[in-house]
Formats: sequence, C-alpha cells, structure tokens
Amino acid sequence: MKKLLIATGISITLSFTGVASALAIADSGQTQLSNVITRGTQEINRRLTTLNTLSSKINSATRVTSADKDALHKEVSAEISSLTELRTKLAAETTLTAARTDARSIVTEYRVYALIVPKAQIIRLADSVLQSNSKLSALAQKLQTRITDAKKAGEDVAALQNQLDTMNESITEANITANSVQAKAIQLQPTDYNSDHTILGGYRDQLHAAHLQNVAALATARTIVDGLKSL
Amino acid sequence: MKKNAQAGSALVIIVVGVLVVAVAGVVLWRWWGAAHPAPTAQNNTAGLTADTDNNSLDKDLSTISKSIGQEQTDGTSVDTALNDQQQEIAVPTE
Repeated sequence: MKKLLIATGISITLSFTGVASALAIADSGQTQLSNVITRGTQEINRRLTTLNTLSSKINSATRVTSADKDALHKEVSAEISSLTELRTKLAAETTLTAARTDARSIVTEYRVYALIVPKAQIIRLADSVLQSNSKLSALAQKLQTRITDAKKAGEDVAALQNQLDTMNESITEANITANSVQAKAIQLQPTDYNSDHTILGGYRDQLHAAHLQNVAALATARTIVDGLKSL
Repeated sequence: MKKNAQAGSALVIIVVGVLVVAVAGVVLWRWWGAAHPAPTAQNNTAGLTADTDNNSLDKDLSTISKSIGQEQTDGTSVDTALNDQQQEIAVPTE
C-alpha cells in the first residue's frame, strides 16, 4: 500500500511537471512569435518610410528622363503595395514558422536598401551624365562650324581640329558607357542582387569613368574656344 | 553801252567758271568715294556675329560646367546609397 502511494505521488508529480513544461514551451513559442511579428513590422515600416521618401525624390528630380521616372515610380509603388500587404499578413500569422518566413522575405524579396534605393540613384546619375553629354555634343557641333569657317577664311586650324576630334571621342565614350549602365540598371531586380552583391558598385565605377570623360571633354572645349578667340 | 556789254560778258564768264568748278567738284567727290568706300553694313554685322558667337560659346561652357557639377552631386548620392546598403540587416527571427 505504501509503495502504491509513493508510485501514485511520483506519477502525479511527473504529470504536473510535464504540463508545466508544455505550458512553458507554449508560452515561449508565443513570445517568440510576438517578437518576430513586432520586429518584422518595425522593419517593414522603416522600409515604407524610405520608399515614400524615395518616391518624392524621383518625382521632383529634374535631370531624370520621363521614361526612367515612370519605370522607377512604378517599381517603388509596387514595393510599397507589397510590403504593406506583407505587414498585414505578418500581423495575422499564428505560427512561428510562418512569421519567420514572412520576416525573412522582407530582406530577400524586396532589397529596399541593398538594391532599390541605390539603383534609383544610379539611374539618376546616368541620366545626369547623359544630360551633360548632350550639351557637350551640341557645343562640339558649334565648335566644328567655327573651325570650318576659320579654315575657309585661310586660318591654320589643324591643332584646333585635332582637339575637337579628341573632345568628340570623350563625348562618345561617356555616352556609350552611361547609356549602357542606364539600360542595364533599370532592369535590375532583387534576385539580381541576391546572385551578385557587387553589381551596383560596378555600375557606380563605370558612371564615374563616364563623368571623367565629360570633364575631359569640357576642358578640351575650353581650350578650343580660347584658340578660336585668338584667331 | 560798251561798259554794260563788258560787264555782262564778265558775269557770264564767272557763272560758267563757277559751274565748271562745281561739276568738277562733284566728279572728284564721286571718284574719291568710289576709291575709298565707307565700312559696309555687312562688315559691321560680321564683327558683331563673331562677338555674339564668342559670348554664346562662353555661355555654353558655363552651362556645361554647372551641369557637370550636378553630376558630382548625383555621384555623391550614389556613394551614400551604396554605403546605406548595410541597413539591409536581416530581421531577427529567433
């Protein structure tokens, strides 16, 4: 009888311990779920703020082509809509696994900071380089007219013509580079960044080279104008 | 009567002389003008055009210089955005 009582006591104790452990685990899981939802919501809100600021900057940009503005605006608007839907979905999750999947997708599916924002800035820089490039090209045509007229008037313009040829080479190289970067960058998606984290840095370097070609063309143009004035 | 005739002849000679001198003066004036033409309106226009072209080129250089300055600003924004890529931190899921 004594043994039976002891065994019963042990069983009851073990049962209580098991229930308590199960409750503790359940409570811990609920806390984890709550934490993931809270932190995920914060991260989504941070991204939505950034995207809304970016959208305003795109709209007010004066040196971005209307086609690029439309493309970027559509992309940013789509990200804002999707992230807003994800925020609602995450808040309604009841399992830790589903909440974790949602939270991870905030980074891997959207790439707001890693791709979208720098991509928009790269497109803006490419268009900016192309705008200067177009002005340089128009100036080169004027300079060619002046040099041709001076040659007809009997002036020695060989040196000026060589400088203008060099200027045109710089203009062409900058134009090809900036157009290439613009055409590739506008199509970039988060998956492209996922497979190559350095892709935007490469575009930045190419645009820097194009910028330097524009700078060189301007310096050459100044020399040519001085030469024309001295004829 | 004879004195009057003499006076009349003298008057005619003077008038004819004045006319000859006047005609000669006009002829000489025209010859001089033809030999030394005044600067034409076309030459003046050409000079003004050259000045205008030089001013136009200077304005173009100034405009392009500002445009390239804007490129530098936009380039800085790209660098900032690339530095901000580190904000893409993973959301803790534990």
